[in-house]
Amino acid sequence: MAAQLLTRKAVPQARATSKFRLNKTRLNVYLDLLLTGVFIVEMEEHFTGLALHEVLGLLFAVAFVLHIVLHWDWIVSLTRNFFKKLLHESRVNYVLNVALFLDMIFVTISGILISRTLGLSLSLDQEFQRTLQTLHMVGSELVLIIVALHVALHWKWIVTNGSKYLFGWIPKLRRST
Amino acid sequence: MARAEKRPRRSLRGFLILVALVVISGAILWSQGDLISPVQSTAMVISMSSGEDGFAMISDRSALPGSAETVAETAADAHAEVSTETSVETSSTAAEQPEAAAVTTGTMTLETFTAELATAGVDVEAVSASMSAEGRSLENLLAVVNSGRTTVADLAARLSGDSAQPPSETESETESTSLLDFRWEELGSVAYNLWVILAATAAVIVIARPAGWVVNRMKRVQRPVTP
Repeated sequence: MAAQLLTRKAVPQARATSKFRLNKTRLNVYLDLLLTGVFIVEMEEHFTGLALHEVLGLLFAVAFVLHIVLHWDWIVSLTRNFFKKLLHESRVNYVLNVALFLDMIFVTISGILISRTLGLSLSLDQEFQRTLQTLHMVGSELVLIIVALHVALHWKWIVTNGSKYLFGWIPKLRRST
Repeated sequence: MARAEKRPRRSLRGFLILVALVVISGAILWSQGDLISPVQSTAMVISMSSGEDGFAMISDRSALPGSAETVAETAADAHAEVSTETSVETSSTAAEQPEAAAVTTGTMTLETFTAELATAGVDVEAVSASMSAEGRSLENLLAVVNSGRTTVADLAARLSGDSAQPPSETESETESTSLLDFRWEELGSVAYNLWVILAATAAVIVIARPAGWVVNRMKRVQRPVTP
């Protein structure tokens, strides 16, 4: 009984402190929204212009690294258990994420190497630069397909947390009116 | 309990909204000519970058000046679409003059197309030169016309102003270095990217059910039920 009372008291205290703590899920929702927005705009170089395309590419790379850091626990635990279960949704997810990670790294590095407005002026062989440009473009098209599948596989999470953190104010508004 | 009942209803509502979004935005993109499959766009990227002199990032494609570059982009797109329908008829004269090779499509030949452009006041040779500098040809523009995306008159109106100023080499090198230089007419391409993501999501949700059923069956086969 005493233990029950203690836990009842402990819950509101925890809630009170969690207000001041960083909500990881909320941060993930906002970061993922930013990543998606930047990605779909950044994909269209003829919409943004080359200068913004390259700047957004760097911004995206930073946000992408942050996204991985926030999901590091998941990556570590799944890497450890990868060969335990043969058929599982998270395994498909894992393989897809590895492909996305590798493709994204390639696109980012090739983008930096062929950049013309970042002021790096790397003196690469012209033929190599052309090949790199082609691969950069093809790689980014592939990223679009993988990202689409990535979003699709996380749809439940997106609907649940998106409605909670992005549209959570709507029911509150209804209740107040 | 009530919450548990609400959950599938909410996900069903979410799925229906997603499907509606995909269908409506797909129809809008289709009507604007922005809807192409990712495989096709990848093929387009490869085909665009395959030319020796013609390779350029999209921002570089300003050799065909002004508004004509948008036409050239759609031309490359449409060229991929109609290339299967296009057949090249080579004659003895065409062997001597490769430029005048008659390209017969379902609607218009290259010869009639260039003749119509010339009568509309377009400097065909200048346009052809600027396009070949990009690794393209007038066939790309013909493909656009034959695909019905634009008319010869419209194309001529766009090109006539541009052909008066032959493209210089420096023009192809000039690219905007200002950060906020959006080309709003390309917004459809951005919307297309979002559409691909949404469409893939809807497709995966639809496929996931039978796939899940198959996986469960396989699991049962692997692990027979013990009494």
